[in-house]
Formats: sequence, structure tokens, C-alpha cells
Amino acid sequence: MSSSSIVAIVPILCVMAAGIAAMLAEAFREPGERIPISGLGLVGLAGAGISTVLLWGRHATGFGVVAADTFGLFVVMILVVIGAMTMLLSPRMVERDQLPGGEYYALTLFALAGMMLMAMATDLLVIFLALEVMSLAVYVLTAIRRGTEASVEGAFKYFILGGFSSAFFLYGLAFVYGIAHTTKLDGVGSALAGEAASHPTLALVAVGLLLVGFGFKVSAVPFHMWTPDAYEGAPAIVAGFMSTGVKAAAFAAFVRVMVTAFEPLRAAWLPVIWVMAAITMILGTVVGVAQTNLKRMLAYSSIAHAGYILIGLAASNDVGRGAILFYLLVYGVTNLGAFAVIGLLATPGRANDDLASMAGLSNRHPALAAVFAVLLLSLGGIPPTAGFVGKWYIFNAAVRSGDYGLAIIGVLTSVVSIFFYLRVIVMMYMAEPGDAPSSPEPSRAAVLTLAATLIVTFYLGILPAPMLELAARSVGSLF
Amino acid sequence: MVSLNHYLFLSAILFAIGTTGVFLRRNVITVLLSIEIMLNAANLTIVAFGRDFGAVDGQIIVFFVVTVAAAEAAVGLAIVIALFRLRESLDPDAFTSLKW
Repeated sequence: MSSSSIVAIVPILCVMAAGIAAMLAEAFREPGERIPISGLGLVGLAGAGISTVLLWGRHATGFGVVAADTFGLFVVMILVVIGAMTMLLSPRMVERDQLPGGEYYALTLFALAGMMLMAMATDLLVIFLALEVMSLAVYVLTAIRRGTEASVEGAFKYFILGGFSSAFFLYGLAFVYGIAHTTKLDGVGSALAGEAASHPTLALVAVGLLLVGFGFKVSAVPFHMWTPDAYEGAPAIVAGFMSTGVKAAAFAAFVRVMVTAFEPLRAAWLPVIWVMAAITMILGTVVGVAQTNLKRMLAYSSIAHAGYILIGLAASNDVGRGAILFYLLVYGVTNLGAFAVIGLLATPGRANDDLASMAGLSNRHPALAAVFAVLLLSLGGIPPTAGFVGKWYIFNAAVRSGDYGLAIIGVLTSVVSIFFYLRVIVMMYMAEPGDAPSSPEPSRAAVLTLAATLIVTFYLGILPAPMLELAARSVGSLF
Repeated sequence: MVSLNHYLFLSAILFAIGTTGVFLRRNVITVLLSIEIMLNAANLTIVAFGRDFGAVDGQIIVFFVVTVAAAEAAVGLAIVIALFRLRESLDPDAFTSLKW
């Protein structure tokens, strides 16, 4: 163990330290005293962001199980952005819903630390531990309004299916250990390449079990059942946080495991990923059309987006992997922004998260309506927004690897999905105002965050080249 | 003589019991227990392989997993208690305020 081992995990340590500080700040708070705990989180995230930039291109490895390679660091950077947005958007909502502040921020930061570890881990056991650190914090965040039935029920369903999938993941890990005598990804890769023929059945069982585990975490069909319930039950900002952060971290680990450890078995898992991607896109879109609750609609939309990202994995060329990183960034920023708008529209005791309460929003809150419209168009993939470039790049990867089927399904489901995004926009701009009350003005931090989200959405939509190139170069470190 | 295959067979049975339990039992505490059985089935597999290789890392992995399982049980039971306070029921079929 050298000092470079510590260096590789500095981003995680910064966030973890901020999480502990948040807990202590709450514990030592005088009754009635107000501490800006989200500020502590922002300091920790700033530390993580700076150390990520400094680590860039140095290929530091930590303890033989963590790699600060460009692939991992790119995802860490996405997570820093998601974390910072959450910290900036949360304070007013935490106050309004009377959530326990210290616990809320501490759990968010611990979840972020787990996500970062997951993005950088190169050992199946560490991926499992990081996945649990992340998941356990997110289960509690889902249930944080513990007097609300929907919140606790969503968390319960999430917890049961999450624990169930963790068990599958662990059973898969056990078989991998049995075949390769190690849980390190590169060791597993060379063991499978060398003696795949001697235990083909066991290796396939292991891959299958791990696929189930990852499938749950990225909410791919048929392992998506928890998603709409958990997102509807959770406070909007938590739903935004977990629909973006959990997905980014889980996809990072998923891609890393598939292309490093299980590359020798590609012929076996590729058809499974292909089918998963296809049914995930189709079911997410079709069921999304039928939803009238915005959080459920965005939940199904996030399922469909998981399908698009799976296309990048099925394409399994460098274009596909670069496209995954770019898509995770774009999706993270726009989806979190969209959930944040829903969160800002809530009034005390009333969620205002169904389609009907969007009626006439452009009169009541013209700025929020405009931001929401742009973010929804980006999720639907309409130019000149970032979502269009992300989808175009993903479909491009599929076509380049000769996979026209997935590209066609992707384009068709995108077209259908525009229907339910547009329906919300039509409600906001053309319907007569309903009885939904006006929401309080958002805080200045929230306004600035949403403005930044808007700028990023347009910037990445109009001038995507530098970021695309960065994403494409980052995936080179995977081998 | 108990061979590696015996252990693997036993853990496969345990895992199957746990999986069935999650789907079939009508009490949320039993569902939590079923998940624990699944985790421990995986643990047994890992320990059996580790012993077969004559390596200790199998046992070390299991220490980590046991810790995780304990944390998971704590969170799970807390959620169940919160749910019971609101519903006065432990039957998962009663939890239907969210529908797909």
C-alpha cells in the first residue's frame, strides 16, 4: 500500500467527510438553530470535483481494488454535478416538507460516496459493498417522509426488490469466485479467457445472476417493477437524485464488469442485453403513455432511457461506450432538473404532481413552465437540446456495429415517447388553469441551478463536440 | 466425506428456498428472513469454494457480506416498523396505495 492508494480515493473521502460533518452538525445543533448543512455538502463536493480534475489522466489505483481511470473519473464528475444540483435545490424543499435536515443531507452524501466508489471499483466485492452503501442510503431517503403512506410503501417495495437483487448479485459473485479464484475484474477476465471451456455452465450461471443484480439497479425490464412506486413515493428531489445518480453509478459498474471481466463470454451475454434493451425501451414508452402522474410518467421515461443506454452496451464498441458516458451526463442533468421542477411546484400538504395540476402553469409560473418544457423536450430528444445529441450518438453506435434492429426500435420508441412529453407541455401552455394553487417562489439557489441546467442542455445540444470527444477518450482507459 | 458439491448443492437449495419465500410468504418479516436466507446461501457457496481452494479470502469476503446483511436488516426492519405504524398490517397484499 502506497500513498497513491489514498490519492485514488480522495474524491470519495471528501464526500464521505462531508456526510459525517452533516451528521455531526445536526447532532450538535441547538434547538431552533439553523445550520446551512447543504453548504457543507457543497464544500465536500467541490473537494471531490477538484480532486477528480487533478487525478485526471494519472491512472492512480487504490489498494488494488479501485481505479481512478478516466472512465471512472468521468462518472464521478457526473455524480459531482448531480450531487451539487441536489444540494442547491434541496434546502427550500426540505424546509417545506419538514424533512429531517441532517439525516437528509448526510444520507444523500453517503449515497453519493457509494456511487463514486461503485464507478471506480475494479473488484466485484467492492462493487457489491459500494452498491449496498448506495442502496441502503437511498432506501432510507425514499422513506424519509415516514408519516406518508406512499413514501414508506414505495421504500418498502424498493427495499424488498433491492435486497432480492443484491442476493442474486452476491450469488453471482460467489460463482465468479469459484471459477476464477478471485473477485478482481482483470483476474476474472483472464481466468475466463483461459479456462472458459472448463466451466462453461458455471460461468454462464454467474453472468446471468450478475445480470439480474445489475438489471434491478438500472431498472431494466423485466426488473423494473420497483421504479414507478419508489419514484412516486419518494419526495420529488429524492426521486430525481436516485433516478440519475443510482443509474449513472450502476451503469458505470455494469459496463466495467461486462467489458473487462466478461469480455470472453460476450457471445453469451450479448443477445440477453439486446433483448433487455429492446423490451426496456418498448415497455417504458408504452406504459409511460398511460400515466397521469408526472412522477410515474418520468419513472417510466427513466426506464425507457435505461433501454437507450443499454443499446450503447449492446453495441460494445468504443463509440457505444463513449455514448453511454455522454448520455449519462445529459440524462442526469435534464432528468434531475425535471424532477426538481415538480418538487418546486408542490405546496405544503399537496404534491401537485398529476397531469391535471399542470393546466395553465404557463400563466402562474411562466419561467418554471418554460424550463420544464425545455427539459421535457430534451428527454424526448428534440433538437437543439442535449437529449437529441445523446440519442443520436447512441443510435449511431448501434448502426456502426451493424445493429439496425435496436436503432430502429430506439427511434420508434423515441417518437412515441415525445407524445407523453408533449402532452405535459400542451397542458401547461394551452389548457385552462385548474384549481391548482400557486407555488411559492423558488429560492435564488434553485433559480440559478435551473438556469445552469438550461444552459447545459442547450450548450451540449448545440456544441456537443468537446464533451463528446472527452467522453470518447475517457472510455479508452477500460482496457 | 462431504465434498464441495454437497456444499454447492445445499446452498443452491437454500437460495431456491429464499427466492420462493420472497414471492410466496404473506408476512413481510418472513419475506425479510427469506432475503437473509438467500444472502447466506451465497455466503455458504463462497466459504465452500474458499475452503476447496485452501484460501482464506473466501472467509474474508463473507465477513464483509455479513456486515452488509446486518445493516440491510436494520434498514429493512425500520421501514417495516414505519409501515406497520401506518397500516397496522404485515400482509404485503395490503400495501396497494401505489399501483402500476
